[in-house]
Parts: sequence; structure tokens; C-alpha cells
Amino acid sequence: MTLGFRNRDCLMRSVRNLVVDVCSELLDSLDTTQQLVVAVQELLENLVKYSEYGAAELDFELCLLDGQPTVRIGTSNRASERHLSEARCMLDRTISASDPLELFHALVATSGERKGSGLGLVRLRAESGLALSYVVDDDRLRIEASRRVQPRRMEMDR
Amino acid sequence: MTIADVSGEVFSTRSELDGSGLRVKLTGCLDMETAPALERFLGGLSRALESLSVREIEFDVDGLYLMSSSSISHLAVWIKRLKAQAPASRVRFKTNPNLAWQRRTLDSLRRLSERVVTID
Repeated sequence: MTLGFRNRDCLMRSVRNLVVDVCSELLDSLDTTQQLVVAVQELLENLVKYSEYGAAELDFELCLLDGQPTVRIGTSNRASERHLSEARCMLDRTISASDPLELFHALVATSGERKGSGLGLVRLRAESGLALSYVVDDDRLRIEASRRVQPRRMEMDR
Repeated sequence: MTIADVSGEVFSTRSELDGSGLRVKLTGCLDMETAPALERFLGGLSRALESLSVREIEFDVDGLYLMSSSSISHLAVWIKRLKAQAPASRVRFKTNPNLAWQRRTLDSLRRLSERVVTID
């Protein structure tokens, strides 16, 4: 599914509930569903906080990638030069971290010491186990997060 | 001094003094819209603790279904302040075993001070 946002932060809960419903129906583990809901929430909050000109999108897809069941979450938004620069910096730090959980703990420990903590992005790797990549094209930032998932076995498969 | 609880539709708190302890039940979802209510609640809690002889604060998060990063930051700041102002205080998080994210997320707060913060 692809959802567009235009300063509609009130839609966040509806989107979150939809992700819970879809994952609960199709995935094998409640824990995986919780991890993906955390990830979607963090990405949505970043879209609402940092999107410029009201144009932002979120895609959520459960698919087969190289024959493996995979979740793919993508966001796309336009942002100011300052926010793009901060996002690049935090994404590079998160993607290159050899131990994302340690980075997450370090950022929590310094909470309140800076504006825009970057905690949400680090959490995608540290807590939700997602691999991250990103592209900046002019003033548009596209983030992609993905990981393998275990589909729920349907009655007819047993 | 009374503690001003939050009574929102999406997020609420219920505080109860119990001897030398304070039990705070957090219920609902902490997202970017409810995080400011948590921040205000923690500010009020800090002021109340100055006049109450409370040594242990228990946060019962059994009915808390989501905590986004802004609320993690608010709790981290509050714990650091508590540790500095009332080093003898203890904070305990009572988690829901069916919500595995709680232990993962709260572990980062325990690491702020293992002497002060425990997770059950």
C-alpha cells in the first residue's frame, strides 16, 4: 500500500492500526508485528515532523524478494536543506554502525542534549532489525527499510 | 501535593501512593501527539516527588502498547534528573510479557543507571 500525507498527522493512528491488522493477519509472530509497528510509527513521525511543502509518502509492502518473504517500508518526502543534512548524517551513522543497539543506547544516554535526536532512525535497525538505505535527489529524501519475515501458515497450507 | 494524571483518550496515567512507593500506571499509546502529555506529567511528578517521601517509583506499563522515540527521550531526561536530584530513588518498570518491545526499549533506560532502574 502507498499512503500520501499532506500535513495529516491525524492519519498516523489509522495507518498504524492498518499495519497492525495486516501484519497480524499475514505474519507468524506477534513480536515481528510489534517491531514493524514501531518502525512504521518512527518513519511516520519523521514524515510529519520534517516534510516540507506537505508532500510525503509511505509505502508498506509484504512481498517475495529473491524468493524470500520480505517486508519493505519506504518513505519519500521533500525536506529543507538543514533537515536533509541532519538526516543524511544520522542515516550514515545508523547504516555504518557495527552494533546499532550500542548506538541506540548511546543516543538514549545523551537525550535532551540536542534537538532532533535521531533515535527513531537508529531504532529501525536496533529494535526492528531492518536494513536501511537512502537516496537524496535534489530536495527529496527516500528511505527504504527491509527485512525478512515469516508468513503465517494458513489452514489450507497445513 | 497531588500528582496531575493524564486522562486522554489515547494515553492516560493513574498514580497511587502506596507507603513509601508511588505506582504509576501508563495506559495506551505514546506517539508524537501524546508525548507532550507524558513530558508534562513527568515534570509534575518531579515537583511532587520533592515534597513526598517516596523512594520507589513503579511504572506499570502492562497496558502500554507503543512508545515512540520522543517519549523514550522524555523518560531518559527524567531519569537522569531524578538520579542527580534524588540519588536514593529507585525506578521500576513492570512490563507485559506479551509485549516484547517493552523490554527491548526500556533496556536502554535501565542502562542509564542499573542502580536506579530495574525492569520486571
